[in-house]
Amino acid sequence: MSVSDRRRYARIAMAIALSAAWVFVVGRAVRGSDVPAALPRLGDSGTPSRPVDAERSARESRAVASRETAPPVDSPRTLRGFYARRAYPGAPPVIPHPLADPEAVGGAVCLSCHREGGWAPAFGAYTPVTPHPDLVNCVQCHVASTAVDALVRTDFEAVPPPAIGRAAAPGEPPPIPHSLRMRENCLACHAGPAAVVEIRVTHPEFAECMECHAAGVDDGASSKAVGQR
Amino acid sequence: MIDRRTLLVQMATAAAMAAAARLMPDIAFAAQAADHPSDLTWQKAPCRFCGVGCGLLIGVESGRARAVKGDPDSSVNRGLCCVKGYHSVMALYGADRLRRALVRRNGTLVPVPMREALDLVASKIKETIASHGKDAVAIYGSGQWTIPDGYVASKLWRAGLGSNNVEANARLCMASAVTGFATTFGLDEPMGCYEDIEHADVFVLWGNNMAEMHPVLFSRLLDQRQQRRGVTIVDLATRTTRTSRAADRSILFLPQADLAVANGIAHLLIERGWVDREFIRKHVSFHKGKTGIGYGLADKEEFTDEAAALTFEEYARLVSEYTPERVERLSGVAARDLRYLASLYGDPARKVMSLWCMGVNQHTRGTWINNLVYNLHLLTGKIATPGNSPFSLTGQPSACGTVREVGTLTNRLPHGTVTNAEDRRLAATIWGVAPETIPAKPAYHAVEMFRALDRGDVRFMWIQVTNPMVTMPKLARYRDGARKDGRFIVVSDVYPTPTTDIADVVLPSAMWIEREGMYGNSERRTQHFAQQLQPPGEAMSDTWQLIEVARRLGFEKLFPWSEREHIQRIWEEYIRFHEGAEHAMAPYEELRRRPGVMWPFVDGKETKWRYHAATDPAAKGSGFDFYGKPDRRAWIWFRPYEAAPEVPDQEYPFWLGTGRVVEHWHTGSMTMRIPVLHRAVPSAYVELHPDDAARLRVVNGTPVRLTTRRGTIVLPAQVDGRGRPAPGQVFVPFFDEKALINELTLDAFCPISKQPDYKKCAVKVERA
Repeated sequence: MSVSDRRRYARIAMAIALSAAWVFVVGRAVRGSDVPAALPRLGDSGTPSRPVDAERSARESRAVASRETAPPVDSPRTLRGFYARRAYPGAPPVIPHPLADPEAVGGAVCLSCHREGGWAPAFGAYTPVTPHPDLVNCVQCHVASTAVDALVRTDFEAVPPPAIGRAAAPGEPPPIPHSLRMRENCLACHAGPAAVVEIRVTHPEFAECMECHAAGVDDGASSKAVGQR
Repeated sequence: MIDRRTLLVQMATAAAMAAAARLMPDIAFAAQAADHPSDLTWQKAPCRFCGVGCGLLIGVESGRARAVKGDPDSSVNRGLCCVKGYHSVMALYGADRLRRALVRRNGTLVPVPMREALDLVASKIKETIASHGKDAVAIYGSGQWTIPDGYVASKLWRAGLGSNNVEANARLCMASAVTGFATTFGLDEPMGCYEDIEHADVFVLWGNNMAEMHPVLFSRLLDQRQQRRGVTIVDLATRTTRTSRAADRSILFLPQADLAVANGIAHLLIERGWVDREFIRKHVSFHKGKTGIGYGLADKEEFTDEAAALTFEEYARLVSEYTPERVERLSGVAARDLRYLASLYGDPARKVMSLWCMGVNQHTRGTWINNLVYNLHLLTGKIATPGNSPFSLTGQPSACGTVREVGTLTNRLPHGTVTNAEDRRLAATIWGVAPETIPAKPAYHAVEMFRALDRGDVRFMWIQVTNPMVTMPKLARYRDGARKDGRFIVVSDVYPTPTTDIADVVLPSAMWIEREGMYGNSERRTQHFAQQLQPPGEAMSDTWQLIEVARRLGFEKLFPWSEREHIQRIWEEYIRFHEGAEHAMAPYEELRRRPGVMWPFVDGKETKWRYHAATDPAAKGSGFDFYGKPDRRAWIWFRPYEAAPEVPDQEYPFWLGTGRVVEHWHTGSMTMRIPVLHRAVPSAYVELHPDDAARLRVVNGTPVRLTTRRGTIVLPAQVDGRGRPAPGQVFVPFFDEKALINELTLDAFCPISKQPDYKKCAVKVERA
């Protein structure tokens, strides 16, 4: 094979490689997206906001489908762990474990553990007790959580959690720093082995909590809170 | 010195923080709790998402929304929300919010001052009208438009430009409900309200996964079942869902066969003598319309129905063909299940509420199946009284308020239709224009509008608060059409979407509580929200964008209001259309004061049940009065079973249905930016029946290729998830812009309502 032949073959090989690369790139753009590569979608920063990644999408979906990525539960429960499950204090917490029956609204399934609580060997933890067992469409508010990255960063800033132990004077019973809506059963969260350690009550035998602890937060019905223009 | 206990606590804290960081990596949690009470103030707003219209309280501090509570004063939700409502404020804070206007130059969207972008929009409208005529400019809005947005859009187009080329995405979601109401009652929107839930004994859900789509109302159903003996929930659907599991009885029917099921129940009611003869004699008239009415698949296909009067006996003879045995063959519903359903509707001691949403409305015979459900309530006289209530649910926060009540569909006006001279005259009087300004002929309905864009009959389209490049059926045609040369697309939105990808101008919108507005929910309830936050950057409300463009077009006189007062002034002008006991709206101050007010609002009182003199100030006499129709009767229509336009065959052997999940709303442009919701369901999937999955050797996560005559897509399988299609059917949610299922759907629609059917087409299913 002469030198010129070799050059020619090399050129042909390179042309084939380039067309394959071109087909791959165009194919990806066509398959993965309705956005031509030349027209990136713009956010404020001027950079493409969301490159489309079909493979990532499929990977994430598989992760959800197989539910391998449910985050761990913390034991004993701490206030930080407690707030970490909530987008803001007062938000419904996410479900940190696989759903026993995703086709169910919750009810009997969720309440079989979360009504009374107790030791859950599978998680090596005590089960938190719901303060509102009368609401049975649990997955209406509480949803599973996978470990995938957020699609887009959020600039949301939550209201800070209330300070604990805000007694008027040392030894005084502290007021209740949160709304009591759907949280009328104080002992569900403040007593028992699953209670968050920092807010576990020392005297669960006194069940008339509100005799000493005053509701410190206006429940804020709209009738009392109509805004100004 | 660290003792053992401190060490343990620190270790536990570190572990919890690690877990927390995995759970909520994007949310900054204060390292230290606030040591002073926060200055959070709570202010009411209806939820941004679905048509239930839950009352929220938004916690605002330092100019930012930081928390949400359900409003205990709202009679809709009484303090309870769903996961979307609780996290709704996070939809305001995605890092890629549109803050500046963008104009496409040399193929790229570049930031420009808002003023310049609005100038360009106005000049393009002028230019396009000069070169291609009035109907070449179109506005495509939304059931997420506030009432003032829709009102100003309609007024600008009809009174300003002199074109009826106004449409909204609600054409894709509830046009069949509108035509159903119009054909049966002569007036739109429900006779009952949510309070019916507390009175009804039986709930029949027609193709409605209420547990996920209207969870707050579904919880009211479940609550009633816990509190009262004998409350029964029946889920009548094509797919087993959380609703089916929670119901007392789940009955599956084949796609499209709801038509046969409803007729079969009507036949049994008559055959067994379970009809209310007295009610029928006084308050019902019988009719039939055209049959074999097509599916709207061809461009410019037109259809007008014609009513022929029937006697009760003639009607009974027509439905007698729907024997339980024949219905079983058509629908797969066992004859005994059909008899069970008839016994529920027919039992005079039980009050029945029927509920439906997209399963009934997104249907090539959507108007018909709406009519057929009303028939069951009219045959038994179970209507317009507490607990006896056929109830059409809605999916968008103001599909009722803005699209139906304001009339932002090509054929509608704020009161009545464009084809009615009297209605046009009223509009012209209120708007202060010559009556001939408003054309008597509708322009294009939604699907036809996008077809016209493809053909070149429409050259300019302004899209506000909606994402048609995810939601249009047979998407490729309409995307390619929008991208053709000589088309100019303006998109007003809050985030980049596949629709901003096709835009020539992107206008950043002020979202929800960043501006003042009103929504109208499914039970005729108007809900006002004040501006609580400053919009980001140059973002501007859709109402004000329209007014700015209108003024540039020389229509200052039509829109003379100041920025400070315009919402109030618009409301005051708009409610002139609705004066009178049939539709009166609450005054502005009343709306500001209360968490929602139902219309007709007469003498300071809401109307909970229409068409009965006991509860409705517009009803004459002492009992029922269906005053919407000229004969003051409700109309029972005979509507037969007709097959779907595309049914599974050898090559495409499965049915494909699409829909939603509780976590995501509409196209996910907001909810996918809320970390809690995105993490719960980060992407779309295809649900299969376990037997089909086994036959295809598919398990959870296996990539599956779906192919229809229109397109193909690969999605991971979900086999034991939250829903279970019947054998031979698959289901795909449509929220994921990275997996556009509407590439595959068919753009067939109900010829009467023009609403497409997203629930039925034929698909091939293979392991990818």
